[in-house]
Amino acid sequence: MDLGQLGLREKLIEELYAKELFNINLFGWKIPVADTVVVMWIIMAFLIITAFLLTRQMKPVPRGKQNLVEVIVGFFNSFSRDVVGHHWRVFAPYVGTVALFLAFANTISLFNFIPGGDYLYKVTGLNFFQHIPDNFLKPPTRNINIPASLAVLTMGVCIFEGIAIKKPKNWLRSFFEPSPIVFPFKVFDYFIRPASLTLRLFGNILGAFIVMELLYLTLPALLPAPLSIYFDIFDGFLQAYIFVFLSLFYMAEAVE
Amino acid sequence: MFDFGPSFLWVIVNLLVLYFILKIILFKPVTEFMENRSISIEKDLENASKSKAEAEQLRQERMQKLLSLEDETEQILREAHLKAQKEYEEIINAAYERAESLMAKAEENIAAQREEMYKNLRNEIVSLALSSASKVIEANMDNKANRALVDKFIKEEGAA
Repeated sequence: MDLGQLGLREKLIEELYAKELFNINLFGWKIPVADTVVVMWIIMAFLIITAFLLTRQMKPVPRGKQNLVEVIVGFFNSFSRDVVGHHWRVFAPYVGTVALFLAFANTISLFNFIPGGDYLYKVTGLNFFQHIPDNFLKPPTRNINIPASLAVLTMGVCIFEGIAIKKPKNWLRSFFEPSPIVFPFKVFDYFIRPASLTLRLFGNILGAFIVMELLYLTLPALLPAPLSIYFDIFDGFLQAYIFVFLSLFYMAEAVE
Repeated sequence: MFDFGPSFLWVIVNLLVLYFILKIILFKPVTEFMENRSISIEKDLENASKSKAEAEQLRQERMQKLLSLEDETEQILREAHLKAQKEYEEIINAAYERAESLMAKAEENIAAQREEMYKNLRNEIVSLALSSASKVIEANMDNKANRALVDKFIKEEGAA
């Protein structure tokens, strides 16, 4: 941390921006890949591999790892059953995916003890690692793109399943119920809800991130540890929970 | 921080991919597995209570059957007792009758034999008397008239 070259403010802003790590060339387009996306890929790979390893050889009497899987899946199933009711089957996998992803995305900065790219490059000699900066595993949700796309996806699911379950005619009619006056508000809902979902998640994670970064920059020893339990772990899980709860709530309203 | 851009699309694509993969390898199979398990457990419990009820019914039926069988056995035993008693009496009576008839016959036989013996004895005595008398009178008394005479005498003696 070189505070001499950059002021504290610049340093913080520097930390907050997603850095473009490399580009992918696809049909002549250059698609930039930011570090948030790479972190997301890491989380995805971890989730998929873990899910694959944990769901092999399921037995009627659960033992060991199978208990974990059943608790997690059962939690999301009963969670969506409690909120959505009859149509919970459609939403449980989506909500579970978003919640698992958010839970890991919000708390991933815990894993920053893993050495950065320079070290790995020195050890392995692979050029690939040069692209990876130090202190790389920062929560991708601190960048507004990720909460925003999650919220847009949630609203997309609301609209899609609303039309699929209610049938298009009834879905359109629901904009005018209980009275035609509500029509503009119902339309606004489809913009306000994703915005509020986005900003709630983004603001909370950003706030926690800024507090923790400030602490690391000014007082690197001792104090960050207990506060990290709140800001990194508890706040991360809490925001993930709030996000999926509100998503489910909107979905329940869309299909009821 | 607020730079909307290509990452936005990246995240949507990533999330959709993650959603479909996790749905296929995690949520769907595990949910199905758990539901199948609860269905099979419910079915097992239902079967268990059904077979328990059946067993209870069977037990009651067996119990009743056993009770009626005991009654029947008692009746049969009583009848057998009665029959045995009757047969016993019949046999005993028959045996008495037979014994009595045998006794009567035997007595008859004895009487007949005694009669015969007496007759023979009398003949002997007559012959003996006749021979001794003829010896005494040196005459042959052994003819029909004499014999009748002696018989008459002995009969009168025997009667006396």
